[in-house]
Amino acid sequence: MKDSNCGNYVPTANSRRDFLRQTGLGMGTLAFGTMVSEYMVSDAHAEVMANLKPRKAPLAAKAKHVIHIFAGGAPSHLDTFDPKPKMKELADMSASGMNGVLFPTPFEFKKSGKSGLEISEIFPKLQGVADEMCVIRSLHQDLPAHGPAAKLMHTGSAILSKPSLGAWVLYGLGTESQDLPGFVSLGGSSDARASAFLPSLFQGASTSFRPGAPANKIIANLQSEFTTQDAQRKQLDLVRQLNERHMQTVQKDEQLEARIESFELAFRMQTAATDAFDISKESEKTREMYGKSDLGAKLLCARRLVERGVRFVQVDAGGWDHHTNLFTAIAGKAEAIDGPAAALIADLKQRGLLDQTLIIWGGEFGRTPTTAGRVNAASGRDHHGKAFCCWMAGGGVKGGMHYGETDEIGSQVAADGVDVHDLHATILRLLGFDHTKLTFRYNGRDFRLTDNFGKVVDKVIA
Amino acid sequence: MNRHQNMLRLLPVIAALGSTAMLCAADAPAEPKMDPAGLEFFEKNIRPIFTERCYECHSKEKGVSKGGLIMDSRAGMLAGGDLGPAVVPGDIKKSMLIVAVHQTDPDLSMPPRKAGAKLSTTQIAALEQWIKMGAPAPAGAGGAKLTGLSDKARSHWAFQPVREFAVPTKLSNAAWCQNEVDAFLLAKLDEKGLKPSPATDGESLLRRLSYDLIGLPPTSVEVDAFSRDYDAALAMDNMAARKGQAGRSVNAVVERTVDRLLASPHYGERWARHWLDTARYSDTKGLKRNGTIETFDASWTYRDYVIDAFNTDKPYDQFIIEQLAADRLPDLAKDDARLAALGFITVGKRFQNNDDTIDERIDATTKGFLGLTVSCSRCHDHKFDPIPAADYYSLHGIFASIIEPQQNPVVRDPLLVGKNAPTNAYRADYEKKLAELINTTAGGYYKHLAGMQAAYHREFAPRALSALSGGFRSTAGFDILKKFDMGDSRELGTSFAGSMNRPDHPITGLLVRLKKVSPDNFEKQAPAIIEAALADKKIPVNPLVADGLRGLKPKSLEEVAFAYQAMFKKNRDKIVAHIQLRSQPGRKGDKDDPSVAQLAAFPWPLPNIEDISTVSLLERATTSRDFCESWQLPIAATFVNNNMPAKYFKFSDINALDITHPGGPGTAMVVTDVEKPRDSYVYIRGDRNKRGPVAPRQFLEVLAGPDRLPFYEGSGRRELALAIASRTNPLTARVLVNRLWMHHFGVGIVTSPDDFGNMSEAPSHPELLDWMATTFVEGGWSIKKMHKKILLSAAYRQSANPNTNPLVVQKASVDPMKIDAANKLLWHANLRRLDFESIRDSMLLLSGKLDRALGGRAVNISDEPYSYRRTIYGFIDRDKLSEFQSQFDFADPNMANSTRGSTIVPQQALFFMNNPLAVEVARNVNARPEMTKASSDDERVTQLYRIMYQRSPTVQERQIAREFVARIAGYIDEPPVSPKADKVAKARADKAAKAKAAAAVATKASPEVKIETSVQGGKIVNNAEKVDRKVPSNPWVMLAQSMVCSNEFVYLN
Repeated sequence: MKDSNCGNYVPTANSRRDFLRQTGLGMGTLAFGTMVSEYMVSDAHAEVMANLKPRKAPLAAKAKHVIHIFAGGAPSHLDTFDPKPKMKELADMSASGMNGVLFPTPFEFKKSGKSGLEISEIFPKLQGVADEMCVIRSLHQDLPAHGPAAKLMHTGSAILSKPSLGAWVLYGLGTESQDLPGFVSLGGSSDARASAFLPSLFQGASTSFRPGAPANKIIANLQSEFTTQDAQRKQLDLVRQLNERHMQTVQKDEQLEARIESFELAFRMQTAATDAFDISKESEKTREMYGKSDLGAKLLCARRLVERGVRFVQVDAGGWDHHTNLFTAIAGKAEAIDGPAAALIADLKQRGLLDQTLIIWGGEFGRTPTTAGRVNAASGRDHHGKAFCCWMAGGGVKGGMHYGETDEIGSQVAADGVDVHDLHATILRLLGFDHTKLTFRYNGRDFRLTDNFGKVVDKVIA
Repeated sequence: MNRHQNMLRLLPVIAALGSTAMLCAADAPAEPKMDPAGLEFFEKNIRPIFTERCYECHSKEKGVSKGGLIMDSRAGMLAGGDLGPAVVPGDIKKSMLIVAVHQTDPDLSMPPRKAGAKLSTTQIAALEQWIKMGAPAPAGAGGAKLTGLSDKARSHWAFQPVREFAVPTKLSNAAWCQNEVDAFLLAKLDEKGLKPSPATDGESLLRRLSYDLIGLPPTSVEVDAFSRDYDAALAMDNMAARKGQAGRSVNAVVERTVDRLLASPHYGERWARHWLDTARYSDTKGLKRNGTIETFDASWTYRDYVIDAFNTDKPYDQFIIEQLAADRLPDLAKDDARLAALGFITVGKRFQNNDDTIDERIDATTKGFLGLTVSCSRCHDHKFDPIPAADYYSLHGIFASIIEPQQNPVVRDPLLVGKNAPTNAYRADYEKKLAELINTTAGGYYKHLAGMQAAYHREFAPRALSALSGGFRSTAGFDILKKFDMGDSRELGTSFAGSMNRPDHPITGLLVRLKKVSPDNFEKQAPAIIEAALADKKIPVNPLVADGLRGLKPKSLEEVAFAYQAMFKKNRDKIVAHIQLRSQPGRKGDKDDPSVAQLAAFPWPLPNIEDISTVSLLERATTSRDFCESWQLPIAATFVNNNMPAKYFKFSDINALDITHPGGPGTAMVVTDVEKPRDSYVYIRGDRNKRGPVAPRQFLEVLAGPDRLPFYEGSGRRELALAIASRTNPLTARVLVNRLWMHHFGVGIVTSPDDFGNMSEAPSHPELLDWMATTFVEGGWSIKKMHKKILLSAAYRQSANPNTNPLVVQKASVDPMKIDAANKLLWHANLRRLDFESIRDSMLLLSGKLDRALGGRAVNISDEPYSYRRTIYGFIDRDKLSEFQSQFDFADPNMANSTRGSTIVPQQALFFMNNPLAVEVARNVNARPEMTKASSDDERVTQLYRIMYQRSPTVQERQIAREFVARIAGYIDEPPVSPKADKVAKARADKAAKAKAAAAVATKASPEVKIETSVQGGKIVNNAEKVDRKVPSNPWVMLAQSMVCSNEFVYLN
């Protein structure tokens, strides 16, 4: 009974050796195994999951990759994707239970695309791809403080050290390109790439990507500063020779073989990753399309990574904490992401990758419908967790729709609330997982991303 | 707060475990027979409601029982959840289900709002009718709530007393056995018809022993000597075996080596690291202050204590007691080194909410010493183990009854003695720097205050008026600020609305009272009110305020406020002088005019400089109620948060000095009991605001028995420690010997070393586990003795190669690969990859650079410029492990994690291939005298093999190496460094030299004082040179580096 995973999605093999035989390890094709640990409650299961080989999700699903654009700082929902036309007349009026006065958005919303999805004028380019976007207007959470809320968004837990969304996805799906890390984070906090109790091979690779930075230094230790690649190739040939001799004298063993293979992968990664991070290889037209800004470069890089099989790309796109001067500040932030995000959607679509790539944009909570003081140019919005929004595109979500409603001033969820666990459950479902069954046993408990919570929002799934 | 989404809850209910429900199937009560009409009513009217609106969260079938409630069986509803029965047949009022669906109690409203609308009136009526009918429902498949409070859970082997098993004697090959350990192992192998593998060779055995005990490889000379003795002894033992006798010669050889290694001071470093994984050791708190990581002042003293405890073979029971209650030991000296043991409690992650910190401590204590996941019982009874929530709160009371003192005691560091101890020059240098920092920067807080106050007092009138109207967040308050053209400078006026609620306040009370007078009558009434107030002895008004207001005939409140403002202006000089006085050490301002003192402490109180002269004191001062009232806190917090400390009070500099300067005193991070220890209440569902019954401070019922007595001595920590460290405790000894076993064999007898509960896998060798536990306790809880027992077994000596096993060799019908592929029965040794520490330490040792000094403050072990200290002395940031640490499976220091993973990823390979450390090690290996003195390439290869692999190369290996050197030489004849690159490198080097010079000036070290580290950007940085990039790797360097990359280097076979 204790070994039973009871319907949880953990592929089986009769034994570690059977598994390795089935997957042809003897040919030196794969296997980054983790060999000894307490999560090996059931050896065969743990062995299968504790590697990065691509695996099929248990449920039918379109999304195979994720690009999570994290708009840290908590963007206002009221000025971006949740229109509240009736608030116009309520400017400067007080609202019960709230500090300050009501602050209607200074921006116009436009019914965009064939679908008529309403998007603020600060996103003119996203308006152009509205039919691909699905806005969730009814997100809510209880802890509108940046640190815990961001941690909650990334890991499903506001306080404890838990694996990040990307780590869970990598654990569930493995990755298609063994020459690149399966989970790459382009900036952001360590929470966003944490593997916590999952084996460390599922953690996000930390990068120092920025436009113009040498592509071979984006990942630590990516290339040698002490020798040429040719010489290094000879060196690795020697290492292989030493290792094969060692294996002959010691024993033939899959760990040893896996480690030999890891050096070959590392060697290929030197070129593959340098190439993937080198956005200068894109055509001028494409560079223009994304814009030559920091975010343009990051999203273009994200596309290059996904195109090469990377499973999960975490993009840091923060700076949305607009307590004051919202009018100019949010317009600036919006402009910075609008072009790149619209380009990403269009570009993935034209390459036929949008269907299998889930793009998520959103922050950790929303902002108050009110401003401190009076409505004027300096007005801003404070933290607000009871209602906020995000959007998704591609990866099998229904485009051109919004889900959920907030009340007339965007203060509370009025219908179809979606909490962070629900969002996570939905993301996992889009990738082909029942979130209650993607589990990992640690210290006597089967943990999951959504803890005990989470409800899939079926209506956003195409 | 929505009960369905209490995110602060730690480790809540386990869901989605189809299997777990089976645990309690046996406990379901029998269900009465139901009449068919009632059942029909249920199926028609009730079940649809449940299916649609309830089962999502309360269904055994779905494996969810939020709040402990299951509704897809009648028994489940009758048993109810954490709040009591959901359904009481026939009684609507007592049925919580009905209360919940009416949604009149905001804390008990179902279905939850986010799950859609309230049930319709018709639906509620149907439910009421159904309950009146006696709640008929079909017999379900059991389904009381998931719980570990069952006899079955209690009967789990780990909760039973340790049994005394006779050492097996009926064995297939008694001569193989070197000691009892072998007898137990062989008995299990015999059951399956398996045989042990033959002994491994001397070289690999010595490597195993050396890494296992001191975490470092042997030298080639040691290997030679050992192998010689070992081979000879093996021959003798084989001879004995042929005569059917048990040979003991190898044993004697191994024992000598084990004794030598156990006596090495590096043994403590190796084994302390294992314990620190369990003790979730970190140098940082896991809290951030405005983006800056908070560092403990002296976590390293705990680490040193642990090293010393292992080196001196401190009896484990004593080790436990000291870690939980060293402060309550008899005969405790003031600077007793044992006080540092309390770091076990204090080096854990800190949380904003103290209940979370307590929870973390309960978790570390119970997992660490008992292998129990007690913190699962924070919100409900444990789902699998017999640990009721009440037991959790018994421990909660203990940890809630302790505090950390304002000033930690300075203790002796047992490792920093003799020539290791800091010299007087170091001490003097530290004292000098500390005094400088306090003098030049602690005073900054007063400057800051004086500046803030000047601004506040200067604009008192508009700010006070705004605050009286609700502050800038209110419309009225904001309009006032605007009226007086205060622009957007909101900060100063922001948080003082709270101060304007007190009519008895000696300074602003009068203003508060006058605010209540209607503006129309103000002119008429105000003067009399002022006069009366000034005369009222019961509510004294500050004399300087009184002077300013006396005789005032104000027409409006505004005028009064401006009178205040004038008064502040008039007294400005006195206020400034007072603040200046207070910033001097030893001046409490008590001789000053109290009325001036009062003004100077408004609106921000003035601390005594002594009270803010250390980091922890400043933190306490700026966050505690003693220092200021809650409405004043924000300004103090803002001061600390908004980088002002960096500008004025360099508290981070003092912290930096403490964690880097070897001359500083080592303090113990202790706890003490509060004056009045108190029992905690059970928090229903972990919610502090929902109090259940009192949980007396006492030990866990499953271990202490039903007759347990509450603790009475202080917080009860010492009694808790004694209960844990008791010979009759069934878990303590088992858990410890299992960890020892795990570190020697790769896998524990119980595979989950921190969880021995019902969810753990059954032990592979329960009899052996109990025998070892008994032997351990009887041997005076000596860990070193236990090591010897394990390491002197024949089992430990087995070859790691399964193909050497006699059954495999003979291709016998019994195939061990089929019977026990996972090697649970240990028919061969396990191939093991070195852990993070062993890899790095070996690299340094072989390069001839390892710094063997014991103890002291943390260094940076991950980044350039590199340190040559052992890895255990590396700085650990629990929020952000270095890439190096995390890529090599360092244990997450946020909770007890006694096992390490052993992953293989290309990033590790990239480290060995490209990281400057790998290159530097290869360079240093080549710079060793053995290498430079070598007279031929052949000899050089031989020396390289002896250094790196501690063995001589074969002829073929020598040839491969020579060929490699020749091949590479062809590639790097041309200097690959272009003139341009050289220039860049030079510029870089110059810049680095400048930075270094600047740093040297900044630290102003006296000549005889060398300080190894500094803090830069909140990170420990070694004061050393970076690896030189200018010289490309030559063929010999690349050869040595290849060996660092190789499997032979990182695997133990």
